[in-house]
Amino acid sequence: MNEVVYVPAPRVVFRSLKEGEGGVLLHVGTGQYHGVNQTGAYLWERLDGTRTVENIVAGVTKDFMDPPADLDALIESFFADLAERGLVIPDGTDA
Amino acid sequence: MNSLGTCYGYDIHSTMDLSYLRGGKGQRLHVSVVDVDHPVPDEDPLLEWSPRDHPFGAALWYLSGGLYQLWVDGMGWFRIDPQGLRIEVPVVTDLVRLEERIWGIPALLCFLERGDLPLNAAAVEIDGRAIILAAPGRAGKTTLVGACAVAGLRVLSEDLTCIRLDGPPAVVPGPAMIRLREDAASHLKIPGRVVGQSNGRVHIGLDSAERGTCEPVPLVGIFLLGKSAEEVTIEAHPPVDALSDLWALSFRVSTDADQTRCFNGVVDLVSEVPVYDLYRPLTFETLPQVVRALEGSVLQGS
Repeated sequence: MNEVVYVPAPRVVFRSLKEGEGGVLLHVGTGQYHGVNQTGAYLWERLDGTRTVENIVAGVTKDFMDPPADLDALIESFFADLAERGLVIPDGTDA
Repeated sequence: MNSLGTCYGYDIHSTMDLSYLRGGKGQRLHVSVVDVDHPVPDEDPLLEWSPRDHPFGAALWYLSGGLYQLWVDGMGWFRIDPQGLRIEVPVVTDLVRLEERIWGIPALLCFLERGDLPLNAAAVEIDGRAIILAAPGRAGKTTLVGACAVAGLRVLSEDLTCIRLDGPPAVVPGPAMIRLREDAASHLKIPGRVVGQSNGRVHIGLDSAERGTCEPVPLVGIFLLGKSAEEVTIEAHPPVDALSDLWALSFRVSTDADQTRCFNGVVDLVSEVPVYDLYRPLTFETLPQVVRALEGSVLQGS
């Protein structure tokens, strides 16, 4: 069970691209940007400060057809990767 | 002060003699010569350009009240009021170079305030539609723009392109000039008048009859210039990848607000306008073929 609530880190801006083309994140502090695919954009848009990783996994299971068996591990890995890049932080922590 | 013509959508009022203006109407922008030696502001500049990696050394400061102050080596102080639409320029003898500086950072700060997106790129018009030619320096961009002018295409901007994004993307035409390398100028008979020559470049004001107005021209494609050994090819470029190319060519200062403003503008651009790679040999002989390929690409899309 992953009860962590991730939130976008301060000074991070997200923009979605055209339908099916994902989105892009900019860390205005570093000037670095990161592209995410359509699923990554979907996951980012769920970071509303209330959903746990487990809630998000449940949402993906409902919204996507034939999600992979290791979905929860993939999503946890995705957010861990974003956290490592300073793009998300666990809610309640300082940036 | 008289209305002299237009540039970047502004109706330029000035007592100066300006060489690169277009016709039509626009919002009034005053350009005046002021013989004042402003003090160097106490704060660090927003931006600095080193003469090592730029044609001239310069530094830009933000003052209070929405004013900017720009120092240009060998010229002096410019003061820019983007909200009041006023640009003050120093007293210099080289009027061509002075005008070219005016249509750089000072004009850019004004149209940035208006909400437009500046891009360090060229733009030409094909059949009533604009395309952007983007590349880092020394990639043959200006020579290709010159070849477009020779082929009868209207040059909308040579180095700094003003993009309007509050509706369907469009290019607002800038100064009607081309600054060609001397060897390129000897190969290309540009329809226009040589107004100066310096630093190995020939400065040409385009024919008045070819300049048109500053009415925005719908933007239909962005071409990133690359080099090939022989063939001229045009390939689609994924939008996310294009973001890094255009980010590198965009103008921004280091504040969070400006980084965000620039990011949103570039994302809007790649979301709405197709981006292509244009690979071509860097030879004078193949320039007409490259221009035809660009024309074909735009006309195919119509």
